[in-house]
Amino acid sequence: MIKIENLTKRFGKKTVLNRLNVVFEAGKVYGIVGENGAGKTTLFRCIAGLESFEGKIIADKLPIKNHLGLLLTEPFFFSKITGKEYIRLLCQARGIKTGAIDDRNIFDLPLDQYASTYSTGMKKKLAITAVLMQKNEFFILDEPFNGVDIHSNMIITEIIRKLGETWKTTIISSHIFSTLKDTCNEIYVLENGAFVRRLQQEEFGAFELEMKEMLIGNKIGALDL
Amino acid sequence: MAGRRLKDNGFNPALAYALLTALFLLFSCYLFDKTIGAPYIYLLVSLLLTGKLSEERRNEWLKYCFKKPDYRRIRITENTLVAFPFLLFLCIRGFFLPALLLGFFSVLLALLSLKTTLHFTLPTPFDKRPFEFSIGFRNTFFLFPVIFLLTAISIIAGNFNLGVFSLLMVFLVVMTYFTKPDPDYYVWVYNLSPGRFLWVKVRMALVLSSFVGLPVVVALGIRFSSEVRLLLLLLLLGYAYLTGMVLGKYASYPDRLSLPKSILFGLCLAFPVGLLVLIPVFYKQSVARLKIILRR
Repeated sequence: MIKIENLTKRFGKKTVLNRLNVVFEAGKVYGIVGENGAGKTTLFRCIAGLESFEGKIIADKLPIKNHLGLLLTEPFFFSKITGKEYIRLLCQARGIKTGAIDDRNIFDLPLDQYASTYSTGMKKKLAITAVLMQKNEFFILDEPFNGVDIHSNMIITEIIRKLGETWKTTIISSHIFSTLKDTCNEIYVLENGAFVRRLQQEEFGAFELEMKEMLIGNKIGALDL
Repeated sequence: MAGRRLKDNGFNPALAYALLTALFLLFSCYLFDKTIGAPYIYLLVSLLLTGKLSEERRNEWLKYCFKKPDYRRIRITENTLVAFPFLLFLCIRGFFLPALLLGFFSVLLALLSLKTTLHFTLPTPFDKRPFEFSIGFRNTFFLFPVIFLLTAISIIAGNFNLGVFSLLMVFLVVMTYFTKPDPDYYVWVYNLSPGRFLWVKVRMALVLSSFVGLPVVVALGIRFSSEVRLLLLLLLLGYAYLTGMVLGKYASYPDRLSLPKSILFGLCLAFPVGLLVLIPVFYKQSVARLKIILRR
């Protein structure tokens, strides 16, 4: 469980997150949606402890960062570190023994190659593999489906479901709504640094239609196709 | 950009350039008075600096922005500017052959772009330990045969100073592995207190540098048995500088080591006793900096 109370984050005079209150429970998968710049990544960085903030973030396992698997939108890889070395680094940092890494290479990545030579999707899959091997209690997955192929997309969807089933607290963000629909128990809509809506599973379909109507409207019609 | 960095660190650029020139001259005079290997150190240091400018991605970007003749002109100018102070000092001291070599290699390096992304993975003895040594070794692997060759030549020719120089090079090369601050994720991910984190980093640096440094010391110790004490002292000094470098990396984290701190560290190269003060100071500052990211 992660409980956020009155979380406010300012960059100079600009308030990026404004008095957020939310509880992310164990065994559930939460989705965060919002336009670019809505504050999703900042929220994740605050929970992870990578940003200072006002308010409180508490959890049943503290400090959160030591139990958190954080997947960044664009994971950074040093230019001459192999996939295997990256996984080993992330596990050693948490005191986890890696064992036979090749046996757990579910995405069939070329782990002996430099990670910096991987495609966007492969980088994402490597970062996910490493985060999963850390044996965390909490997971924040920022855009886990970015750039991955259909096959891997299905695997990641299953992994996220499994995280929920195994009583982990999982928070994900994605610009692909169908992936959130398939994996989340609840979705929060973040707008201008505040949660404006909280949706339960049965409301996802209606919300998707609503979004289509609101965001696309008759813009396509203007093309006169 | 250098001027901007100086301003960011609260320095008047003109004053800083004057100070840096003075320090360069002071260090050069000291080096040339102390060791006969100075021209070779000069050659290597200068080529290491110019080699950094040949990094593939940087050069690809330059090629993308400029026409081929302009690109070549820019690269030759860059390398000449970096090599110029070294060249000038070598000429003043009458070392014309190393100066000629330096000029030649500087221009040659300007025409090359060194691939940093190889299509094959270079094996490294350090791949089990994260991550500075595996990356650093892959970036500088070509220097180690040269260093070990110098050690061998010093043993065969009975030139102790050359042997000392090769040992010095080992630590100089290894210290370059700790010059850039890590992205915050690579520090954040550690489940350690700041003190413990620094201990892990320093211990790893000392142990892994021993893999390349100790063979040189042992070989030299066998050949120059009367100089064993001096060798051990130099080894300890190497460890001390390396410790200072590792701690210095985090003393201004997440920023690079600030200019004043770099100058202080540079002064310690001339006056090693200064490390006795600088290492604890860097340690305290590193702990304070790391607390922000490691203790939330």
